[in-house]
Amino acid sequence: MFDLDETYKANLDKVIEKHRGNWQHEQTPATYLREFISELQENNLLCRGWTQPFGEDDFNYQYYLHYTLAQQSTGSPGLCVASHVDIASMLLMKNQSNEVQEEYVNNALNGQTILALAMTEPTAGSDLQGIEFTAEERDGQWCLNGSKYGITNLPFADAVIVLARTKKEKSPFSFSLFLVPTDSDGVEIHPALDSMGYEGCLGSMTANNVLLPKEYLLGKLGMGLTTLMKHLDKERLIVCARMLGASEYILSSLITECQSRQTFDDALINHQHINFRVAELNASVLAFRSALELLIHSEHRGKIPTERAAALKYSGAVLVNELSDTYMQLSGGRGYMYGHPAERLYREMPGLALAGGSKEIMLNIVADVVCA
Amino acid sequence: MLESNHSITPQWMSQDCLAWSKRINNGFDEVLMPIATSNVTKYDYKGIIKALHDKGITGLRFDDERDGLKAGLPAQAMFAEALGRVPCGALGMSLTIHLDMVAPMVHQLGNTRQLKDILHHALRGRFLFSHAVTEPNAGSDIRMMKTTAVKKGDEWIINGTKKMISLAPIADYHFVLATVEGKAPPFNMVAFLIPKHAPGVVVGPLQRTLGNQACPVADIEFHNAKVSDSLRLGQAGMGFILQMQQFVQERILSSLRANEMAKSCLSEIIKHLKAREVAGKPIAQIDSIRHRIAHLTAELYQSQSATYVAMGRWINDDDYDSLSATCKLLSSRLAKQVTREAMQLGGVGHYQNASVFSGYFRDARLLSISTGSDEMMLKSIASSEQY
Ligand SMILES: Cc1cc2nc3c(=O)[nH]c(=O)nc-3n(C[C@H](O)[C@H](O)[C@H](O)COP(=O)(O)OP(=O)(O)OC[C@H]3O[C@@H](n4cnc5c(N)ncnc54)[C@H](O)[C@@H]3O)c2cc1C
Ligand SMILES: Cc1cc2nc3c(=O)[nH]c(=O)nc-3n(C[C@H](O)[C@H](O)[C@H](O)COP(=O)(O)OP(=O)(O)OC[C@H]3O[C@@H](n4cnc5c(N)ncnc54)[C@H](O)[C@@H]3O)c2cc1C
Repeated sequence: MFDLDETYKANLDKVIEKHRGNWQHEQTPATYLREFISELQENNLLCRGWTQPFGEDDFNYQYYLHYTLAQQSTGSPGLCVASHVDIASMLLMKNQSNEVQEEYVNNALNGQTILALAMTEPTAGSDLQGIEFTAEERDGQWCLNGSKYGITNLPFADAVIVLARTKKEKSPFSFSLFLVPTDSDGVEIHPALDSMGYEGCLGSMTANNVLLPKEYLLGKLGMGLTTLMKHLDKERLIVCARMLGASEYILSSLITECQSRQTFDDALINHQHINFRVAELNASVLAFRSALELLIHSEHRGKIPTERAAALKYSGAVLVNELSDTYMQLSGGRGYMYGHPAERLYREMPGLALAGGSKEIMLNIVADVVCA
Repeated sequence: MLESNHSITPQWMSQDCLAWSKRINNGFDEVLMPIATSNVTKYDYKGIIKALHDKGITGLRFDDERDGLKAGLPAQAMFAEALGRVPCGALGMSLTIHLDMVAPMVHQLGNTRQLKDILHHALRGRFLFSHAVTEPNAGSDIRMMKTTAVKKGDEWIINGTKKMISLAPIADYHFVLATVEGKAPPFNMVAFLIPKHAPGVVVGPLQRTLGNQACPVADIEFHNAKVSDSLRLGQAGMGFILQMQQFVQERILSSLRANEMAKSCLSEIIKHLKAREVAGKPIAQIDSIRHRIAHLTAELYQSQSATYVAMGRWINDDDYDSLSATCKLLSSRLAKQVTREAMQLGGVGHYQNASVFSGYFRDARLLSISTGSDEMMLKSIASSEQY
């Protein structure tokens, strides 16, 4: 997997190296994200895996980007870049239909405009058909009302793609997507949430009679959920690439920790209990890597099987949490202290069991297919 | 039938014990519940201990004339459980260190003066104790302890570093284990109560932790610290043995606390899942969720049962070594598992520092690490069973 040319990898390392100091102490991405994204783009690292004319038609580049960013000393740059590029901007690029939207894509890719994708609300997350955010036609414009919660990039985003209800009827075709500039009248972006992990990344907003011209409807009216569902298979693989990066990072940190700590006259890693425990986790990481490799292979042949992407996202969520738990355990009291990577990972990894579709919803998707 | 809010009733439960339980709960309702949330970063621990003393619920297990309430171990067990129900791990941990780890050692080993001048006041909240055992290279493996105590006339000279010590920044007396020369392990340790202002005692900067944030943690260094022989606790040489005995008991109390923490968290998340709907139906009515809750409940019963039986053996002076390690292992893992599940089922709204579930999740994680990690419990079960 990831047999990409070495200069690409070296360039990515170089750009990351240059910006690393920015996120070392869990600063909010608001301060560094724009600059980091534009530098990735200047070096042709941001969306090189996209279809032409944006990229070179090899999605491996995207997976490698997110895999690498997940191995940083905080999870924020990885989460924010993924949400911006391959979740929000990609959705916009695939569904754009006019000049306004096209310009947003271009600005998103050069880092001038940060994007977010907002589905979740205070009272509805897993069940998207339960959302209450509405968009109504009024004098040839769209009028938006409602609130969104728990959205990556929202505290500092310039525009947000919002899933809104455009019909009252209970039907999967009652929803549409809108591109909402965050400086529109009536949009209130609240201060960043005080989340357990990814400091400063998650946000919330309210829209109060926000009026938008027609051009801001994204994709076809009523097709919001369908469009998202298609997009989400892809999003899950991106999250899986991030989880693989995190897994390998945690596994190797854990091994180093156990090699360097002595108890009972031997290095921790040499105690058989620990030796086997680490080997067991190592086996799980290799299996996860293999599954992702095969799934990416399927994608190259033209299709991501929904239930396999969901199953992998489920397995990844279980794996990263088991790894971060064991990493903390085997680091002893040191791992419980702020500043030790185990402490940060223990807070961040549960987020991956929710973002991009929760563990439970992944199981529902798998069960719907295999038990049909 | 005994009236109690226990779904499992311990064999040692009695009317007397229930009466104590009521008194403890009332005291906690007035003193702790109004101030306890996992987001508090500071408590006035001495004020809290004083208030609990005024309610007549500190020093429950002690039976001496001056400080004991003669309530006995069952009442102490009720106290530990009540601590677990306080929705803030730091309060539970801090009060346990002071009242259930250090105070009992002082009570057991202290001479008349130490009881009168120190313990008496500590139980009234005038002094706060820390418990300093861990060192940079001696955590699980306490035999590797390097802190030394050398006797010079009527004084001891202490050198060494204690690491990650709870309450260190605010304690008045540090309970410290050190090694003495010329004796073979395990008979080479000695315990002291070292005053915070003793010359040569340096408490390091406050360290931020994943959870339990209102229980301040710091390192303590001893640079030729001078300690009067009158502050030695018990016989020089017996420190390790006494500490080990005390750990076995403290683990049972820790388990009582952890089980209640798990139980409280479980009932909170059930409440949340009953109120939150997906697709027009409360999440608590989804079969897969009901089974998960039921599974956790079954695990809770296992852990509680082992803990109650261990407590019963302690009360009756039977052998409880393996059971103590067993309940510590089960209860720590249970609390970790329940709080993790609650975090997940709370959704993104509870993936926030202010959430009760995030608080539980971060606080509970310490149980599997401190006062005997899960792995050390496995080791202890294996060695007490002698297979
Ligand atoms: C780090 C992070 C980043 C995020 N970024 C974004 C973002 O950029 N955009 C966005 O729109 N959202 C984002 N989210 C929100 C995420 O999509 C939601 O958390 C997720 O969809 C679950 O919704 P919820 O939190 O409202 O949980 P709820 O829907 O309230 O569900 C609560 C729990 O019940 C479970 N559950 C729900 N229904 C069922 C069922 N039928 N069967 C079994 N179990 C069920 C859920 O899995 C969950 O564990 C992010 C979340 C996190 C943690
Ligand atoms: C918040 C906090 C508060 C604390 N408060 C206090 C306090 O008040 N007083 C005090 O004295 N200490 C305190 N400690 C320290 C705590 O007691 C130690 O962290 C604990 O004893 C583990 O020691 P260690 O951290 O050195 O881990 P290590 O001994 O380095 O062990 C690391 C991990 O490896 C495991 N392990 C070790 N050896 C083996 C083996 N042979 N086989 C299998 N597994 C093994 C351990 O179980 C542990 O999980 C505190 C720690 C924390 C985090």
